[in-house]
Amino acid sequence: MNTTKTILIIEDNPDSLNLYGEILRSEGFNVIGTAHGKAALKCLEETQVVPDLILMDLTFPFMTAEEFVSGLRSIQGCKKIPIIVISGQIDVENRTNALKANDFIEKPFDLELFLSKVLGIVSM
Amino acid sequence: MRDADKYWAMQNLKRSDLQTEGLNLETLMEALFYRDEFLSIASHELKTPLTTMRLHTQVFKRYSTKDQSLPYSKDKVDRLVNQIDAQTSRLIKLVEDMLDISRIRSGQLCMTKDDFNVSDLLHDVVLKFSLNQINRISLKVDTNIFLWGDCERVAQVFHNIINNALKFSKDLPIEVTLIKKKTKISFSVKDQGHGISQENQKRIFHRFQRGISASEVSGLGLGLYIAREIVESHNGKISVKSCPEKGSTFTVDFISKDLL
Repeated sequence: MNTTKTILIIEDNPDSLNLYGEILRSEGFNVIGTAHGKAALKCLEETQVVPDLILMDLTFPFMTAEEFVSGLRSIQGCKKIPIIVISGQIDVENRTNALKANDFIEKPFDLELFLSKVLGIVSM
Repeated sequence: MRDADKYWAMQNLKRSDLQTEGLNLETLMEALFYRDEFLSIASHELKTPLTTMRLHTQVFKRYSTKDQSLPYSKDKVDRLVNQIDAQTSRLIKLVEDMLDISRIRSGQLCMTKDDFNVSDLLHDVVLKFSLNQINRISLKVDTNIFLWGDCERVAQVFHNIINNALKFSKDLPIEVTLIKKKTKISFSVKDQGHGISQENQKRIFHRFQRGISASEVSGLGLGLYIAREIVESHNGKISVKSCPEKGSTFTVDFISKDLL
């Protein structure tokens, strides 16, 4: 495992955010957690960190998922960062396609599925 | 309304039958739309705590299966268990809200009324929020105000309105006030959030309605409807004053016990 790989998580439920972070850190990833798209964009712009993967919810305050992805793609170096959408919404697959995200994980999901989807992308 | 809903409604309802029953097709189709939207939002809201609980369980199981002890300190285990407990509470709250809707519709939202110190109650409600949230609350409460009502239901009103203000007002502070003026006990919550348009102000106290899109915030959209029902069953009045992008003030006026 390359321990330098960084995953940015956008999740407005603090318990879910903490849990995804705990699991990924225990797998050796560096994790940045943010509660909404606006905070994530600010973090990316200010720190100039380019994560290897973004895990994002479809529902968060202050901006839509579409606005976030549009903002993300306009940041230098962030145009091709892979995205996995995590959501319990019934149209998660359609919205993942509309966002041109790489994959989606539908809630409620298994630990093994979560890790296999993440590892499938960051170890490519 | 979505084409699929329209099609479904048209397939299942005959306009002549509705007219016979004195019903309006548009109203029924609108009701169907909100019901379907609610079911979609409710399933999403239920899945989030379920996912957290499932993942926690599977993390524990992963180590248990490998016959390894958890690589966590006692503090960390305590924190994880608290998170599971918090998600369980969230699920219970969601289910209770849905049951309240059913109780309201069937006229079974029972009130157990008594004389209680509503000033103390408000302090108790605020203390149940997280530390970060409490730090955003500016509280101004007249002491020893007494109200005749259902203590738990009034706490639910306070919680729902404060929770909405915290949720919709970015990370900005909110002002919570409880004062007694002659015959009136006024509880108000002022936020600096998105604000609510005039059009939306008319419908936010109805079932499954929100001031802003469901895609921007979590929740079932039931809190204000339940609050209104509880307030009205106390002969009170709930209202909102708001200006888009400048914030909102929700006010609940109860009649002082002295006048009842």
